[in-house]
Amino acid sequence: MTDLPYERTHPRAFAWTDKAFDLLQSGELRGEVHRRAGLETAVVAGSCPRCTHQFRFETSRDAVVTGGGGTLATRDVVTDDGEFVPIDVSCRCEGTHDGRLETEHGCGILFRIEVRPDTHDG
Amino acid sequence: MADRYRRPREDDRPDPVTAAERVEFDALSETSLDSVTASAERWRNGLAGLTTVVTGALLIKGPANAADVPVGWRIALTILFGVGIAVSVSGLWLALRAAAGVPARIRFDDLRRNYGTVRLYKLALAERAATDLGRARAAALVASLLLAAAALTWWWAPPDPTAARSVTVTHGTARSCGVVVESDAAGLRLAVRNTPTHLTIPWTTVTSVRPGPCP
Repeated sequence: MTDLPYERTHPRAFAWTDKAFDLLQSGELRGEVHRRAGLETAVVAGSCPRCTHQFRFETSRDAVVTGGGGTLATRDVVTDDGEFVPIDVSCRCEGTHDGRLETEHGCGILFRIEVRPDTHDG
Repeated sequence: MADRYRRPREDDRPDPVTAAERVEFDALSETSLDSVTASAERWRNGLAGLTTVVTGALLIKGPANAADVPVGWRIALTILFGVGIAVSVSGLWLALRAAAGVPARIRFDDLRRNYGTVRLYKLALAERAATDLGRARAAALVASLLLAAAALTWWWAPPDPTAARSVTVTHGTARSCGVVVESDAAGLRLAVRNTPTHLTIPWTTVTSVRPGPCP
């Protein structure tokens, strides 16, 4: 099977988001959002909706910085754990996709999934 | 499990700029722990330097002997120094804890159950270090003020009026120290600390009289 070229035309097409939801339902793709003590991270792993390569994508809502007195500090926003959290995911597969630049990853698509968060008590 | 996910609406597609910013933010998030501990290490060295400077200045500029100041002033000095040093040590301890961390073993299963992802675990560690660092900074400020107040108090404390009249008298094989109450042909009368009556020493037994505060 020949790998698909890197996606330049419709990287954000809703078709990828739609297909991703089907993969989530079938278990070929999995998304998790974890919350603890006001911190939140998300991990998405499984089959890419476009190239079908396996990939792992991780992101977080929070960072701890040491920028000095002018650091922009944020306070926790109270959110309902029953709410769905949107995660914008990019394919991070290791497959070969023609046209991909050195600084780019995966097959070039960006899609959204919406997941209920898992809250871990301190 | 069916409602774990929801199908996004078609007009809620990812924004490419937000996605690009997200990549940058994730890089920042990934280095949270390293940046906080590095900062804590700098603060720890800074706190140590600050304490050294304040204490050094105190030793150079203060009177030669703290026993020369009146008791009331000496109590104030003791409190300011004692609390200042205690707060300073507490601040150094917190900064050290933030810089070096507290070694602990954690199992992957425990990490997954309690934090979900390695990244969230590292973020929690970073946040804890940042909290320690904030407390260390506050302690440094308080300790500096207390030690500076102690130094200024020492500089401005009046001399102990009794110290100027204190002498150490060697008489026979004994040695007595006290404040001179009276001196006449019969001998020398001293008010000795913690002794209810004055001590009278005949001149015939005195071999030396040395002025200076009692130990």
